[in-house]
Amino acid sequence: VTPTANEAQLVRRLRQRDDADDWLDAWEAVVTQNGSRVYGLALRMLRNREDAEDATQEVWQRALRGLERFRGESSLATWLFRITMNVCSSRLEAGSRTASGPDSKDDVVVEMPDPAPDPERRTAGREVREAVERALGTLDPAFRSTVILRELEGLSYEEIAEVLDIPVNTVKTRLHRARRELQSALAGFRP
Amino acid sequence: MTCNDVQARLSEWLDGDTGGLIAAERAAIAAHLETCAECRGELDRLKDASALVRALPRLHAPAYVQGRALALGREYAEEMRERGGARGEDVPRIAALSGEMRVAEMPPPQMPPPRPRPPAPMQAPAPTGRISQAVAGHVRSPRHPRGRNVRLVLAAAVAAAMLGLAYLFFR
Repeated sequence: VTPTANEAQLVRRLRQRDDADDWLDAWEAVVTQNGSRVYGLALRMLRNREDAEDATQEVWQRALRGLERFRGESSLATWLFRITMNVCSSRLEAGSRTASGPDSKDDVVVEMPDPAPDPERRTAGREVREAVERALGTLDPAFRSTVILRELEGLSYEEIAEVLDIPVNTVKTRLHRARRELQSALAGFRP
Repeated sequence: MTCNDVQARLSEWLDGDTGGLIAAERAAIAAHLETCAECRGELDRLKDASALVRALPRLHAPAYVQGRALALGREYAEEMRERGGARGEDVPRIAALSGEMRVAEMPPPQMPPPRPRPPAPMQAPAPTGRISQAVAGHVRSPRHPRGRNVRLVLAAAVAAAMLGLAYLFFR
């Protein structure tokens, strides 16, 4: 939860606001460092590219508005994830264009990059990754967010509790249930 | 510990130190796993599922999505420049920054009351492009109503001309 020295400095520059150029440099650093994490979380939560893009912009608007009062007690990433989850929850509650079943168009699967250079390995790996992404997409959003923050973003239970504004014990329960569901859905696959 | 007890804690076991299990629980689970093939199998399946998720590639924000976020900052910095530095008591407030924040996002209130703004002389045209829509509301309301000043100068010039004509006519 503790911010790094670099982050602490960024937050200080963003809150000072007495030098527009310095402020803008700091803002660009924050966007560059965290932009893909925010977008990735939004896309994996909403499963729709346009929704994720709009949500990402809303996150930055809220961040800009909230920065002046951000004390830096948590890391910037944790704080941005919290805003992202709030924005995504609102959109999910409002019934956004979310993929709902294994055959639905799922933009995470569509947009997934291919890290392997070898075409054969790439195809095999892609099938597995698609299955994992689809399995993630079918999880209840409350479980999905917990498992993404833990497995993909590497947050501790305490950080996840802070991001989702839930008790640590709820994090444990959700993670346990999410992993059991994934385990069932991915029974035929090996890492 | 029974198999049910152990399997209910395997997710925390998997997360090691982060999992929050106390030393006595860890020792009890370790002892159980040594003798129970079923729970070891369950742990292996859980590990596989976790590893599959962890192996997913990071998704990258498209350049235009990043560009919109950077544009938001540039707009904010521009307002800051126009005000000669915000210095805490004069925080730029661009119109894009509207809407509700959840309580959980909001640190304790410390903001000064907003300054009254002069009324906008005309409505800004609605943005149409993809990016301009994204920063919709981002169009600044005019804080320096130059149009109004020009109209005042013109009115004064017309009045002066009419006075001059009246003077020539009645002389």
